[in-house]
Amino acid sequence: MVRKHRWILIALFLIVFLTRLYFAFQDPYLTADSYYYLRHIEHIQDHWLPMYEDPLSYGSRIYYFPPLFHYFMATITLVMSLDLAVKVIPSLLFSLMIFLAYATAYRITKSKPYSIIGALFFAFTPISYIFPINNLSPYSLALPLFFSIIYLLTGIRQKTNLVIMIILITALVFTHPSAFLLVIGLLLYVVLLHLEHMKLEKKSAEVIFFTIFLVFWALFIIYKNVFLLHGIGAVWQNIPADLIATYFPGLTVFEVLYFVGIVPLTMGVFAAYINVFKEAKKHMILMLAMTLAIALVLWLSYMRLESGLLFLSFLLSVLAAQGLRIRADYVKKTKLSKYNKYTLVFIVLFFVASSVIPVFGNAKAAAHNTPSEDQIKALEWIQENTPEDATILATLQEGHLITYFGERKNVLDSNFILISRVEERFIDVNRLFTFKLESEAVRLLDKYDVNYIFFSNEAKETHGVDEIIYVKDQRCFEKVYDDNVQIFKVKCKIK
Amino acid sequence: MRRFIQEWGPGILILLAICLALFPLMVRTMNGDPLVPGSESYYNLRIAHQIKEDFTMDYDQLQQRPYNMNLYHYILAVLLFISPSDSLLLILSVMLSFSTAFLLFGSLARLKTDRVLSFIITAVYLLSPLYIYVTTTITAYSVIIFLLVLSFYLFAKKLSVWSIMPAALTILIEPSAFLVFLAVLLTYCYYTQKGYREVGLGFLAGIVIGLIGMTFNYQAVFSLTGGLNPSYYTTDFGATIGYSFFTLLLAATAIIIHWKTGMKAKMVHIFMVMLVIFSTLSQNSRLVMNCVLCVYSGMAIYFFMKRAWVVPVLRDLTLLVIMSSLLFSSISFTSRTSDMEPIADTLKALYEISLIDSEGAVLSTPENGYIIEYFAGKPAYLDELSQIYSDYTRKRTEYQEIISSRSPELTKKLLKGEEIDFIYFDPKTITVFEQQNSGLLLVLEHSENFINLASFRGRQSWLYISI
Repeated sequence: MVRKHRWILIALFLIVFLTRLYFAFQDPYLTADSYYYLRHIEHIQDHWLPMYEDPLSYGSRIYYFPPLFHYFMATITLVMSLDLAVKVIPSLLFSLMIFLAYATAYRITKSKPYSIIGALFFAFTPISYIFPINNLSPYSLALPLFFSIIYLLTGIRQKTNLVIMIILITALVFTHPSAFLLVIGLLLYVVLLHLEHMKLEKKSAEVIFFTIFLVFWALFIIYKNVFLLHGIGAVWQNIPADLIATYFPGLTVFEVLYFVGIVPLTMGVFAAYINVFKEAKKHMILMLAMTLAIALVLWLSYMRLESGLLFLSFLLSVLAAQGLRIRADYVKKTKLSKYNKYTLVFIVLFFVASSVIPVFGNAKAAAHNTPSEDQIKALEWIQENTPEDATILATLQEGHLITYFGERKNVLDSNFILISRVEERFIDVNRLFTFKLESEAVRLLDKYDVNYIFFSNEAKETHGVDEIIYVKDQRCFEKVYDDNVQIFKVKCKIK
Repeated sequence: MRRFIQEWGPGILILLAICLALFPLMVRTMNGDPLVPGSESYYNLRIAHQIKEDFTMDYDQLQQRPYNMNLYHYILAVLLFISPSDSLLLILSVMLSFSTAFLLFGSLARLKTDRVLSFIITAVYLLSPLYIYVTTTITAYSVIIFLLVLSFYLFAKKLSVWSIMPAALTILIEPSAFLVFLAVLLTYCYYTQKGYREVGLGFLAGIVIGLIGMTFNYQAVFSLTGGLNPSYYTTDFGATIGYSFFTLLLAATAIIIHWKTGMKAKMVHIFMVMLVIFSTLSQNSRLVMNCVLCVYSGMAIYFFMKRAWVVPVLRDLTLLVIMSSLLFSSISFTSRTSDMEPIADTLKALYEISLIDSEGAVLSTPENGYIIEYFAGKPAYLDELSQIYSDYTRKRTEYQEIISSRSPELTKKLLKGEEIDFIYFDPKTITVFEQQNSGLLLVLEHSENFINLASFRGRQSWLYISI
């Protein structure tokens, strides 16, 4: 019996891993933002040090970030090529979380079949096939670290768990600022335990003390200058006001239903309800606290929706396993007990129909959410044919592509931290694609020292234009490339 | 540990006090910058010089505005008679800050606080950014905090109305710190159930001193600025006069840990939290609440040290992280103090303005006002006390119009109307001007009416000539 579950789990892992690999290799490229991380990893490969000073992004800028993910990926490239690693490792790390989901669910439900179902829920959560496919991000490492810590917290009595946990907490802190979620979650855990009149174990209290101080200390060490410049607003990453609604669209029930799945959400909420109002269990309270922490940061717009939903999907899947267990225990006490198995099968089938099947559609679409062949060709042309110190105007989404493929300075990209007057810059860049008046356009191009304009289909879609009107003046602008993407050389300067 | 602290504790505290006071000053000296950082220092020095010359003061001649009597300026004026250099007045701040720290240590000893806990609290106080600020600048805060802690020391030694007298004197510098101090003292009285009468009489004494001060042009001005945004009161988020984030975190931890120690203690905690919230609006009351927060932080660290940990390695790691955090805040603030204006280039740029024989004002951001007044000897169009002017709103509007104007003609007209002859920029000013879509920078470069007097690493002085 034990073996059977193990094989099911391994099979599930292989299915998910291979599916993800299949979709990942459907497209040779990564999402545009991934190239930001790729540059950092390549910098570590070349110089052994993180790239804290970037001569290309925004013309030249300074970064502050926890570098462990970049080092982790750079280390992986010692055994496989970077091109392969960026496709395989995120998928592998995500797929390995299936074991984590199973183990965590087992800690709570003490039932292997329900834990397998919990792992299944997580394996096919729609959001995990939209966001992480072909997307290189520190979340790939932060998520398994985060949930490994949660898992170890549920088994804190074992000494080895504690040592591993301390190492993992430290690793998480230097991987991604989402370590802050852990602090909020642990604090909520203490509050919920207090409300339930339950005692916090001494060991747990000690770990919580340590985690809180370590996380804050590390965050202030890493982001000292960011906090000094942006104050508490640093949590919104200096994102321009017009983009805030896009980056932090707020949490609605329908979005959660769609991205996390109906079954994990309803069963997860059901388990939470039973835990709060009927029978409180420490492990469940921990899961609930973490879920509340994520819901809270999403509600307060401290975290991007897709990232928050990834965290939520794991927790709700685990909670859903317990929900199913509670449901089964209840049904067993009723006259419907003989139908128990059938209802469970029905729920799983409903999950397959409502989540697993759409997952493949989502994954296919997500896999192609990468730069087009035309864009890459044009960027390679830029790299070969423009002066090394040239500045290229492109859309916000193409900013990292300019620096990675074109190896040239951009005017704007999606990392806004520490950029002064970013609001103005963002508006100016948008206006430069829609302007009609040449004189004003030339003034702005001069302001940002732009030498070339990169006009792709993406720019057309983003700004709702078919052409840039002011570039028609051949005295000031020269079309130097035209192959589905147009590149214009700026010849005029304000004296 | 206890033995070590008993033997070496005072030595470590002295060393810490000296290092934290001297480090930013040494860095400034090595960089060739003026020894005294912070614009406030130069306002105090300028006023003290005027008092030294006239023996009394009721009007600020340079800035053409009424002067509100401040005891601290008179103390500085007296010291100027014996000090060969303005920078030497920094010794007053250093000596007072050292004394404050050791009076705090002494007060805790008087209250029969555990020796180790007293050591920790004093160390946390020494590491606090407010201690560094008060020690390294010529500021009235050094006198205020010294007098308040001296009062507390005397109060702890013997309950007497005379013990409140030093604190009552601070009313002649700024009243809100004194009132918050009395509130803290009343809370202490509530906890110990004694001393109400003395505190009440002390309050009356403060009022009497204030009334006497009024005959010398003193006005009790309560300045409430700031808000709940941490940038106003947390140095790690950019505040200059504020708390370290980790002191706040440790204090919150201490309150949570000691929450179950009875109704009386709960009331004390609640009242202290209310005072800390109030202090977000008042810089001066942060002086008092910083000491209170340091006591709480010390209690939290002491708790972590004394607690019987199931995992001793976690205790060591937690204490290590806490110590690193407090050190981080201090070092971070120390480096900010070292980089504070004015620097050597500021002096060079302002020196060029001082050489020109003109009575016109200097236009810059209000934050540069005091430094301009001191080093250029010319009035600043706006400084941090400009709210006193009866036509402040008009001046502010004109200021906005000048910096945002893109028309040379309009700029010239406004400059002439406001009798502005000079413009001074530093990199921060340029950022501020750029953020407000300033056209002034453009006008300066393209008009013949402006002559660049000096330019040193982003610090520029311009002369405006109306032709």
